[in-house]
Parts: sequence; structure tokens; C-alpha cells
Amino acid sequence: MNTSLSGMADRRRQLLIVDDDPISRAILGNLIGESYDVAYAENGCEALAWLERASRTVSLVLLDLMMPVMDGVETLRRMKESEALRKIPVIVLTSEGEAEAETLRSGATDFITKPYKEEIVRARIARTIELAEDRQIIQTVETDSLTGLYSKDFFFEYAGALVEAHPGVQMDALVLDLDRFHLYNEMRGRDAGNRLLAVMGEGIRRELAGKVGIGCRCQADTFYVYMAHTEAHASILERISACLAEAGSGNVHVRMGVCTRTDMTKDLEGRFDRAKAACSRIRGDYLHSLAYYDDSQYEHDIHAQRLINETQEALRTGQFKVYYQPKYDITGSRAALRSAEALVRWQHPEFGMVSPGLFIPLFEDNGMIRELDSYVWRSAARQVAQWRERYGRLIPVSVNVSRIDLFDEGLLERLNGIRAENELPVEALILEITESAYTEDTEQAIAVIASLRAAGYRIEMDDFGSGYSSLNMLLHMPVDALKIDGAFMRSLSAHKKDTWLIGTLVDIARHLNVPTVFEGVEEEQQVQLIREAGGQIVQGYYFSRPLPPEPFDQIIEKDMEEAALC
Amino acid sequence: MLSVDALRAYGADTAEGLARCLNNEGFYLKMVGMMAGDTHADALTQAVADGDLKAAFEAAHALKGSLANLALKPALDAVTDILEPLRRREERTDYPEMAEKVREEMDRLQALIRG
Repeated sequence: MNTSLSGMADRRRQLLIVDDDPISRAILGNLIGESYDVAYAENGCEALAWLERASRTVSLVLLDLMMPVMDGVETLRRMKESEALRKIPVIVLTSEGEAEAETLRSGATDFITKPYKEEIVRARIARTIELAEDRQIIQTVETDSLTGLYSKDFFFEYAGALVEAHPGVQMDALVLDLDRFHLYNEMRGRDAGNRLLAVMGEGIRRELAGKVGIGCRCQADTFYVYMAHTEAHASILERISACLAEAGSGNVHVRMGVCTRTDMTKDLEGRFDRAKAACSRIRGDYLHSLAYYDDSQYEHDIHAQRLINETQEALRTGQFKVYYQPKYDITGSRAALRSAEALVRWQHPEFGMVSPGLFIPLFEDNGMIRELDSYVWRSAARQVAQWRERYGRLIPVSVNVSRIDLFDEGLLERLNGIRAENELPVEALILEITESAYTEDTEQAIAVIASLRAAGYRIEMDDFGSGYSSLNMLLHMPVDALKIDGAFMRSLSAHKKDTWLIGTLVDIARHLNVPTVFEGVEEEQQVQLIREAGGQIVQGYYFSRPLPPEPFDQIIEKDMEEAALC
Repeated sequence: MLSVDALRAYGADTAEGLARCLNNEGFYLKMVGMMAGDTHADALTQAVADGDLKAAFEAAHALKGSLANLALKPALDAVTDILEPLRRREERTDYPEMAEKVREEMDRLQALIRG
């Protein structure tokens, strides 16, 4: 007997006897009163009223058939219609040969004939309660209590059985994901979040009603649906989205990835992996909420897998190159070289230059980013030391610290160790941490960042404006500079009227008492706007694209010449 | 005063009735005592006289339930005899006699209870 069952065994169960005959009621109550708490009703109406109050605690109803006011058959029918009462087991009390089959068909679990035989009465009651509780335990394990959908393990088991039960039916694997759900939870509270998940579950159940298909809540806000092939995925998504909107989902947005029947050869979990990959492809893409796994994505995935497999070799053979993009201080009469950002490139022997936009997300997913980050930090530190030796000047380099690094307890030691190898002061490395690390892993991230600052590192919040920092959150975040997302600059080029944004961003930073770093600056006019707004540091193609170390030397030399002239 | 011996003498299967009451004599006698005010026999006689077989069946059925649980055989046998044809809604001419038999056995039982 498992723990849940023993837990139930410790509890004294409550039973309801419904019979108009006081003698039969009393005799039956006396037979079972030693083992159970017994309540009594004289007819169906009384019974239903009592059950409405005690539906969560009653274990069994013993129901006579022939009664005045409301008979047993009608009582049973009403119980089966009620969401709250339909799962309560019912044993019908009959005289021999009376309507047993009919009552069982109506939903009674068993029957006991009058006159009562002590052993039979006790055995049937005990067995019925046990079966009902076992069923309840199974349901609790196999279903998600919030949504009523299957839990993940049972989902895959039943999905397999579903295919066997419907041979020849082509099935689609659907993965639905709620974007920004964690923020909804944070801002509106967990209860509101749970209500939204329940609405999502209800929407999915509605879509599956009358169809060959099942659904589950796979993780917090990810749902799997396995259903007979349809061409109407867009309509399904639309209806589910409408349910959520009606429930006040706000900015939460549903994405759906589909692996269609065309791929029935793949095993079930593999098909869902593909639907999930399709769903991930449109993460953050608010123009598209439906994606199919297709051949091009297959090619993409194979390519990605090859890159992952070759990473160690690439690290060993120096295929990763660190480039440097200068950052200029524009507060003075001339743009002065202040620091640089280290940016990694992969010079692949077969594919040529692989975009960081392709491999960084892969490494973030599988954790290899930690190793790559260390590689970049070490290269950058060596470079800072070389420049200091060559030019007698410390040019700090900012390096990316990925979200996964923030969960590494040895992060500070790693950074300090790399500095020590090159005899660099703490100012030599500036740490760039993306805004979403602050907002998505809030507590852990903020604690680690605070400890880095306490050790003397300067922290720049990267990609500011691309995430969802609330102004209130910003006030409490440990940060030394706001690095404005390059998207602002791109939007400025296209929409000149948005230039007021620059001033707003600078004002926010001023209130936080930190400087701004604008990246993606490509035009002189943008530099001018930033300067007028009071922005301090800029970085972008207007000054220089990211460069290998040797050409960067010229940038330093030029800056030193200009400084000498001033 | 009502006793198990008196009920046995009446014809009740007291061993069966007592077993159903977990051999609690006091409880058994209390249950039998509740039959003193039972009016189903009157209802049965009236329904038969009215030709209302449904009402007659309901009265007989209710009566049988109590009698069977208490193993009060003479009255139980009488009510069982009329109950089965009534359940099938058989049209018969001997219902009044059968109802009368029930009435007699119930009178005998209720007289015994009242002492």
C-alpha cells in the first residue's frame, strides 16, 4: 500500500445512508457504524442537499431505490449530472431481483440486497471505497490538477495506446507555449497564473472534444497535444488564444509548434521534440505564433548538432576568434577611446565564419556557453595585458557573462583567476549581463551580480530595453551602466520622430546615477543626438566594426595621437 | 413486555434478526418495537380496495423491507405472497384476501409488541 493510501486508511470515512424506512436505516447504520461515520437522509432531495455540503469528505452513498419525494434512480441521475457529485461512489440498496442491472447501468458502483447480510454489506462497502480511492489516486497521478489534462508520463503512455487503438489515423504533434507567462505570474500573482493555466487546459480540452486526441501540461506553461491530423492548426490556436484573452491574459501570448503527420516514422517523443523545436523557433517573434517543423528546420537542426559536436575541437584548435569593438566617450570635445567590447567569432574550417547568433543560443541551451565564456574572458584578459605592456595604458574590455555563469558558484574565482594570470586590476574586465538575466532569474541573478560588484567589478546591463525591466525593478538592481539595445538605434534611423526616446533613456540612467552606453551607432547624426541628450558612451560601426587585435592596435595608436594633440 | 422468546413464539427467525443487529438484543427489540406504529398494512388494504396496484405495491414493498430485516417471518411471508404479483401488476381477484392476511399478521405482531 503506498503512502497516499495509508494516509487515507488512517482517516475514518464518512458514509451517507439514504432510505425512507427508519428501521432499514437504523439496522444498516448499526451494522457499519463501528467502522464508519454515518449520516442519514430520508429521500433523494435530502440526500442531494447534504451531499452538496459534504461532497469533498463523503466516501460512499448507500442509496435505497424506492422512496417518496425523490426516488433512488432520480437521485443517482442528478448525482451523475453534477460535477461535484459524479465521482462519489454509490451502492444501491435493493430487494432481491430488483432492478440491479438498471441501477448499475445508471452509474451505481454496486448493489446490496435486503435483508442485509452483515459480511456481504461490510465487504461490498470496503471494496467499493477502496476501488474509488484507488481510482482517485490514479487520476491524481495521471492528471495535472490545475488543468485536468494528463501529466507528461501518462500522456506519452496514452498517446501510444491512442495510436494503437486508431490504426491508420494520421496524428499531429502540437506543442503550445505561453510567452511571458513568468512575468504574468510575477505581476499578477500565482493564483492568477494558475487560473490562466486552467483556462488554457479548458481551451485544449474543448478542441479535443469528440476528436481522436489527448493533451497534457508538460511543464509550467508548456502543453502537448496529440491529435488526429487537421489542416486547421491556425484556427485551433486562434480559439485557444481567444479563450486566454477573454480570461484577461494581457500580454501573455500563445505560440504553437506543429510536427504534422508527414513525420510518422519518428518516435513519439521525437515528434514532440520537433514540434517543440518549431515552437522555439518563433520565441519572441510576435508576428508569428504558429510554426511547422519542416525540412529546412531539419537541415538547420542537423547543422546545429554538427556545430555542437565540433565545439570542443574548435576550442582546442583556436577556431574561436575574439574581436574587439571600441567604445568611445563622447562627453568631451573629441570622442575618446574609453574601452572595448570582446565579441567572439567562429572561424569554422568548413563553414567559414559562423554567426554568433547561430552558435551562442546553442551553447546557452546545452551549457557549453560557460566554457566559451571562459575562453573569451581569458583571451580578452591576455589582450588587455598586452596593450598595457605595449602602450602603457589600461584599456578595459567588457565581456559577456551568460545567464548560466550566474549559477556557477565559482564564478568570482574564475574571473579573479584569469585576472591574476595576467596581473590585471579589477577595472580591466567590465562584465556585461543581459537585462533578461536580471528579470527572469531575478533573485539568484541579483545576488550573484551584487557579489561581483562587491568584489570591484563594473557591471553593464546589456540589451537594456529589449527585456521587461520595470522602472521599479531597476531601482533595486545592482548595475554600473545601462547598455542600450542596438535596436533603438536601428529604429531611430527608420523613425526620426522617435528621437525623444534617447533623452528618456538617458534620463532613466541619470536617475539611477549610472552612465549610458549606446551600441549599434552607425551615423554621425545619431552620435549628435546622443551627445545632445547627455549620453556618455557610444559603440558602433560609425566608429569601428569589431576588429581582430592587430587592427585594433591602430585604433589605440590613433586615439593616443589625438589625445597628444589635444 | 416484548422479549426475544415471545418473538420466537410468534414465529420470528430471531437468530437471523439478532445477527442482523449484531446480536444486540436491546437494539433488536427496539427495532421491532418501531413496527408498533407501522401503517403500511392499512395503506395496502386501502390501495387494493381502490384497485391502485402501484400504491399497493409501494406499501407492500416498504413493509417487506422492515419485516425482512427483522426476520419477522409470519408477516413477512404474508407480504411476500402479495408483493410479487403486485410487482408484475398482475390483475387478480384474490388481492383483498392476501391483503387481509397481511393485515391479520401485522395485527398479531403489533398486539405482541404492545403486550
